[in-house]
Amino acid sequence: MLAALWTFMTPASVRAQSGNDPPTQPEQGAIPSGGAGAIRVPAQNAPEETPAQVTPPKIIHFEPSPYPPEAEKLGLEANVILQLDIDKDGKVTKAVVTEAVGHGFDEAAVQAAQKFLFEPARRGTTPIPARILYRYGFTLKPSTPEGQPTTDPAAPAPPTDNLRGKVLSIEGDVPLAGATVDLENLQGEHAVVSTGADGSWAFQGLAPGHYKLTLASSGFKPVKAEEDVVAGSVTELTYRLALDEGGIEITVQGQRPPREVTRRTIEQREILRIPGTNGDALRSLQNLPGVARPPGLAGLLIVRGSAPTDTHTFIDGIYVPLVYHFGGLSSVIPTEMLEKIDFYPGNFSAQYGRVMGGIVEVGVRSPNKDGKYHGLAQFDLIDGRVMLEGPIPLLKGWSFLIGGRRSWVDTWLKPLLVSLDAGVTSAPVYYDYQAFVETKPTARSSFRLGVFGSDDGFEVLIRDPAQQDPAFGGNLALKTGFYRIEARYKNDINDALKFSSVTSYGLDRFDFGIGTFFFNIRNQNLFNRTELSYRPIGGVTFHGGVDLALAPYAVNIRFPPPPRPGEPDPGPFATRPPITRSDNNLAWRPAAYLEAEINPSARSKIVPGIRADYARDTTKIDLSPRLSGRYNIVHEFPRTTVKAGVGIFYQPPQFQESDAAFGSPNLRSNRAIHYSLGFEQEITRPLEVSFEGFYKELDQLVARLPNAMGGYDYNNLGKGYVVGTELLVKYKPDAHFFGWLAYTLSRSVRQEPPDYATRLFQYDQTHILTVLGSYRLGRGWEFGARFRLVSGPLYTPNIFGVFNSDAGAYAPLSGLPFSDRVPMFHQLDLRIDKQWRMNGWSLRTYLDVQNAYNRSNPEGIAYNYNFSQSRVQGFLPIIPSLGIRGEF
Amino acid sequence: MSPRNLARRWALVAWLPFALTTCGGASFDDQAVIKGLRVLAVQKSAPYPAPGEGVDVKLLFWDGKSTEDNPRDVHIYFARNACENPPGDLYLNCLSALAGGFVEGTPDGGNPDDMPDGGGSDGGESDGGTASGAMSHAAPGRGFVPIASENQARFRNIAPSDFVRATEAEKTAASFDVDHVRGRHFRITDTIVRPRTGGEPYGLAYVLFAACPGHLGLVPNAAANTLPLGCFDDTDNHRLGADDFVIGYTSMYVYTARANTNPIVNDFLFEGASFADSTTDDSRVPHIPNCQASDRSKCPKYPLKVAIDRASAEIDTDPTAKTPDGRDLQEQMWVAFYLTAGELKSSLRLVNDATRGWNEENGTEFTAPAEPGPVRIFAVVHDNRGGIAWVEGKIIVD
Repeated sequence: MLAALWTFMTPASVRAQSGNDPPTQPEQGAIPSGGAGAIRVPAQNAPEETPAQVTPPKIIHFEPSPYPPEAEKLGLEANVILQLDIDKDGKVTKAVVTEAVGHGFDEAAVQAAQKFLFEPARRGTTPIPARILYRYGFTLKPSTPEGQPTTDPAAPAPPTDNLRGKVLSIEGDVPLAGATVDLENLQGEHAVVSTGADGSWAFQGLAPGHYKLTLASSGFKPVKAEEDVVAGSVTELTYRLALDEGGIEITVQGQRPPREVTRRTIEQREILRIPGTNGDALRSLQNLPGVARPPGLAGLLIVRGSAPTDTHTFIDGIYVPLVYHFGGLSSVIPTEMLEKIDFYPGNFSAQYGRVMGGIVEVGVRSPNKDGKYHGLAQFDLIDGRVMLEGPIPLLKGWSFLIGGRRSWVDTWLKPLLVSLDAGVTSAPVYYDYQAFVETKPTARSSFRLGVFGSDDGFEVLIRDPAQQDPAFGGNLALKTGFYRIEARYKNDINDALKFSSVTSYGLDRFDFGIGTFFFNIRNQNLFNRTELSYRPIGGVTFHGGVDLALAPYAVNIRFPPPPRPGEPDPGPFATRPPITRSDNNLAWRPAAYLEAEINPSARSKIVPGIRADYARDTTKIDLSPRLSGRYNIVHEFPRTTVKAGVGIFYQPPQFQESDAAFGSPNLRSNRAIHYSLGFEQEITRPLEVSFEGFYKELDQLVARLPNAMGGYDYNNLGKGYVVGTELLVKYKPDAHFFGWLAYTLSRSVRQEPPDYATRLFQYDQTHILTVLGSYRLGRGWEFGARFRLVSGPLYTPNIFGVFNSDAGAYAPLSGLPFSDRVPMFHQLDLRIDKQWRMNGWSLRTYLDVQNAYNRSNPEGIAYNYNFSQSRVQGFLPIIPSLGIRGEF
Repeated sequence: MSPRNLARRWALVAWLPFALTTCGGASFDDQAVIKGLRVLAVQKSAPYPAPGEGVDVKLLFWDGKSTEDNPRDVHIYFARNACENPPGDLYLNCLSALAGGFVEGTPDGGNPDDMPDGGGSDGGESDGGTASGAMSHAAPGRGFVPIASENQARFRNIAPSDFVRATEAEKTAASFDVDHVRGRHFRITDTIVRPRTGGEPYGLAYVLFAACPGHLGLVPNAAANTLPLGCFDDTDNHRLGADDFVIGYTSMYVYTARANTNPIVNDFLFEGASFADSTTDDSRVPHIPNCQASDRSKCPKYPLKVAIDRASAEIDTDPTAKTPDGRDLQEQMWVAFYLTAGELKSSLRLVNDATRGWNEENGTEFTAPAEPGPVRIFAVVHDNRGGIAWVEGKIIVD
């Protein structure tokens, strides 16, 4: 069997020649296989400046060669390294063997290569001639014994493929022929196959179970992966290999269907390079369809028209209460520690509950297990962080990953606050820290211990109280923090039974005080998520699990009850008597679920599930049946998939809603029914389109009405709906580019007390368009841009001011709640990265510019003291951010 | 878990003033500069009255559009009756219920003859020449129109007849012999205190007032969700705008066994010297030069400070008024400065913090205007329990 493997130069390493120029001499260590006349230059030694961007040639016609008869007879295989001269029309003008291997291989390779056709190399947009190295591989396929019929009707059916796929070059999805696919089972036994001319590979008759795969091809970085073979179904995978050259990362794109209708995954490279996010992990989510733009720098996740509190974030499977420092400055866990972020905007699996919005699952990656130590240090204008990982000395098989971060905004913010006449007791500062150790006790199991946490705080004396409400003056103190200690264990007990469990203990702390008002919350918590998966027959897997949350808490609150969104302004807080609440109590919210993954065929998957939640504060059990399914109308590339889901989702009331002092006991959980229907369509290998329509029916929403005792009676009479569509056109990361276009059209409506008129929900955003992309220019440079066009936020117009003489401030008489919208938001963010690679380490610097054309984007309406004048309030100006990072 | 959501919401609220402060708002006129008709303060003789107690309410106003040559006839109106215990403690529910909920229970309420007509007081004379309205009240919840989020006529019941004009004769205290103070007497009902969860039981009485250089009237064709009450010019009956019409309220929290006193103001200091008597004694009026510099930062700055008795910062007797570590909470106090011309470095200054105590740096700085003339300066001292005191002074810019 003929296989071909080719290698070409990257933009950073190619120098095209004019017809009269002599070939440039190769530099030492230029190419793994080495070849006279090679002009490849390692990226780390690349000069800093390039006159114009050079694009390498791309093959557009591959000519298969007959297998040399002599070699076939002798059973020989070989790789022939060719030096090809390609003219500006893409034709091969010259093919030279750099290392002769004989037996007819050289001649056959040259003959075939002369019929190749390329898309020519370009400098800028101008086609130019180029010289490249190309490897032409010849491999034999198992022969059928002579005289034996190819197909014997009486013979048992040949074993069918149950693990198969393709190996492609990340550069343009060109099939990599001759790549090796090494399969290792749990007993350590290996089987190796080579890819065919179209990059395809397959294993047949594999026993169900867990396997390790190593995919390798000369000139490319190898890829390791772990996959499961399921009886009765075919696992089909596509791997894209990157050139073995500095600065290129690898993307592994498995194609196993998710358990959810829609799972959107952002990989680390994308997170780090999305402009306008400063490489922040969770802020990258705000670029996905279905996620609204939060105001200003806020780190709110507004998913499909739901409130931010309706979406939960998990780190390593553990719920965390605060995911941003100071509400939006940066995530509490650094991007470099993440494997990926999975985002479920709705209709999520029964393993998740207690929310009506979405789920964010942040996966912490395993420590590097190559036996070496690695680390990084990064500094920008806001904070500095360090990370270190590697093997643990004297503990064989254990490795560690630790990191920490501290802000230094306090160093420049303190003088600023002092200049504004604020007495600074403690300038704003934040920390976060992470430490994980991991081992694999057996080939089938893994064990991780970890601790991570975050701490924010400041304390200032405001000597100029706010004119709008003098209650906001005096001593202002805020301290928030949490930590989690976790233990995670996974064990594939046998081919049909899997067990995973994560348990955590932690403490949440939230202290806030201003003037005479304060609240202090201490919330210990114990979480456990345990899942047992069992596959009784091929194509059917059951997942059963528990999701336990036990939280003894202590609250000490002294605050007037704030108005709810959409309610009339009660006037300044300054002189209102507070409600005082000191309580030690226990929140106990256990849940159990059962879910099945049913594969009626290789094309389809149906996932029915049910979840039961109990909440001690409501003393009620909520049953949440859910059903989702996917069907591949076209199973092969370009794949076409339709997907749909429906399910019930409950969310218990907030503390202040069901508390006897602030709210009303005996409330029920809020309820939502999610419906969704959509499709996914592959266009090219890296390009995919997905479209989804959704409808969320909301009822039993907690609402309230004022009572004669001066307080409020809470009820479950609120209702509403969210309807919308989402479009995602995504170009998956390759060696040069990634990007996407995300558009959401939606409408979110609420009606709280039943006799109230329906109104738009405060977070409703009709149009949300995000277009972003990042392109590697070569020589360590990468440039990215993001443009957003979003409906302006809603606001409640204030019509008239009523003077509250006790506070000396005006209270607004408002019009209809959220009945007006500020003008549309649009913003361009730019980012440029430059990386230098040295021996064993690299240095990267970046400039991230938010709001590049300095538009005064409106975030709301500002009023004068008596609400007789108003104007649109701009918020953020252009914000450049410079960072530098060293990594080894 | 869920308690944090309350905390988060409040944290966001706490950051809002910072955002507003740091991100603009400078294009509006300075709140401290009086350019139109302004109500500056309302003082109650007992900020925390007891059930059944009588309360004198005194209102300080200033009309920035009046001149010595052309004074306007500003009228101050008080609600005929106080509004007790509106649902949700919302003053808005009082606006929605004035006519419907209160006239009914008022001995003399609802009489069209009580329409403000140039000074006629009603409600009966009380001792000392003070008008008094025996505080009528509705039963809890009765007669109130719930404030809905929909486009309904929130204030459909309000009417000019709900207000009575306060007259010169109704000034309740002799602290100022000036014509920009008006007052009225109210009496708290005996049964106002309600049970309460999450704090000491209290009752709540709102007193509504309005200031208008004309007469009150119903706004023709007012939108359903807007206040239908307006101020109309006496001569041509045209409706006056926000600079000429103030409607407001003061609240009285009524406890069975808790009291509060108004702050004690000892003096008003301009450049360290007293000028509290400057409004009545021309010899005490400071004279300063004007400043016509376009760069206002180059103008001379004159320290301005109120001498406040430290005993004003009372310990809150609320048994729950403790810091998380068990210390007593003091009153939060601040001073608001107003002036008729010129500029202030800060118009609101912290006087006492509930946890950190007295703020010595509670003064501000005055910058003279470009135009010569008299400048009236007011300082209103507030505490967070409804206590108020004020002082005023005059300077001449030459």
